[in-house]
Amino acid sequence: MLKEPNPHWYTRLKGSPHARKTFTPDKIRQIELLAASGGKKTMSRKSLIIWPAAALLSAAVFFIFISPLLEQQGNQPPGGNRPAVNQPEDIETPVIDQPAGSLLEIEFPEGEPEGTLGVLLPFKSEDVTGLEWIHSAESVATPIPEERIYTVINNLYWVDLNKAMAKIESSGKPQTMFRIHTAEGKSWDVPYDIETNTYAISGQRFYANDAVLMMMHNVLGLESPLAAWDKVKEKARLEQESNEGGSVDESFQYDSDRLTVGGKDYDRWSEDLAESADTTDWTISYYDDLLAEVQQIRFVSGILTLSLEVVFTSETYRTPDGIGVGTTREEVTELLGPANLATETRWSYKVGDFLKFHLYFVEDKVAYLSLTQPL
Amino acid sequence: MEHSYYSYLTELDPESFRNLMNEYGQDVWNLAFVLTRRHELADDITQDVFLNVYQNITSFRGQSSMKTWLLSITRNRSINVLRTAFMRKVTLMDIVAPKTSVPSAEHSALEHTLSEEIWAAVLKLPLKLREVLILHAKYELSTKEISELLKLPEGTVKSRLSRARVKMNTGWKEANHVEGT
Repeated sequence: MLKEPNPHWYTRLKGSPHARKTFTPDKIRQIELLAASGGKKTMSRKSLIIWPAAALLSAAVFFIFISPLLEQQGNQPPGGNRPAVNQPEDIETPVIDQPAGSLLEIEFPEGEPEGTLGVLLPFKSEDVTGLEWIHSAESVATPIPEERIYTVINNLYWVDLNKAMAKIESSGKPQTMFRIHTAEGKSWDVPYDIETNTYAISGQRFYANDAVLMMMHNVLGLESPLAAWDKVKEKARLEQESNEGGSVDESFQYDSDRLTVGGKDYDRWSEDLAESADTTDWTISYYDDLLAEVQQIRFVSGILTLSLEVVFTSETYRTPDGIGVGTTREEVTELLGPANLATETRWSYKVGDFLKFHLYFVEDKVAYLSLTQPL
Repeated sequence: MEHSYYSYLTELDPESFRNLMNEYGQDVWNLAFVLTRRHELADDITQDVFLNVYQNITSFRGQSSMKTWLLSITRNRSINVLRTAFMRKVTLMDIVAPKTSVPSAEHSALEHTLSEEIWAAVLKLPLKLREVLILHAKYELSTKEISELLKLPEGTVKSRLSRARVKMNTGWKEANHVEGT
């Protein structure tokens, strides 16, 4: 991806966010005066107003909310229902710790819905400190791993109010929801139905993306192809994030014919699987925020169709060199050659300008083959 | 002014200090604003950064450019400000005055003062993606320089940059109907 030329819109970011100059000669003079006087720092006028106000507010919050909570603490299990969140030393523990969240209600603009949910959310993504999945009927709270919180919060931000709208009823199963904890101590509940992969917000249902569904299958320990796939893919992602695999080796690439599966590339598989939609073992809808349209995850004859990716889970499907599920690392190296990018779990191979063919290993054997399509 | 000039200084004279602010002040302010999305915090952070530089110019050893050094200080200061208890207390104000779908006058003014609509899209990106994108696109730092500045593996920087570009491609481009331009 980064070997591609920079997007055309990069040039628009060369200038300043504001048309007028915001670091003015007045501000320079003010800093010079402060430096000359020994560098005692000042706060902006707004900050000077907010500090005392915040202090007064904090005191009020303490007496109204915290004191009763402190009295109740003796009856609660250590840590309550909140997941442990690693916080830098300079972050205070949130002063309000509500055991229950407020149902997220959004006042949608009148008329044809447009835009994304992110601009209407009452919290910022960087203020989210924790996330749980709540099963209200069973009073169960499952913490979402810290490194996966982004999956849900980012998806909520990019829910398209028009294109992601799901004109379906809920599955009717007991209510389940995401509980989002924010830095200011507020918690927000967003009902999420794993059966239909939809959020319920202010009377409307919106499809989540495929990543949220896969993650939830994994987090809840469901025995499904999605859960098994997410487990391996997430492991590979974390390895890549930690830079275990280093950078892509651009010095060589493979002939596209050698990196087909069952003689077909991503495009052929994508077309054929769309035509065989009636024969799928199961299907579930999701909002693809890359393609900006509702798509279906399909599982048919051991093949999983996801966003811009086809995953092969069965020994039936092999490359022209005979690589398939069950092939060992040594055999892959011998039959195909080195990967352009390798972590312990994922070996990726370059076709043209992109890594389009991937092998995922579990216990040193191929567990999945994947064909991807760059956007 | 050559950045190596600063690496030999034990203190900044008034003229050098002013030149430094004239040359890099707007860059520092812009980065602080893009990271915090608040004018008053960008003002405070910029002031803080230059006062720190004034007092600690000897800690600049010329191992990076002056600009990269200043951006690094600005980024760290901005993240600290976003994380501090002060910020949390300020945001308590939002609880007292719940947000509505109607933008505030201040928010509207902010929207209108942005030089290009693309900045509104950048400011909507999550912080982790926003900082990488802006350091790469606006400040023209390489992914290696960004990885050193953020103390992150280069692979992580590339991954975040890639995600930021995808978000911009799908979010901003679609909003402005400029596909293919």
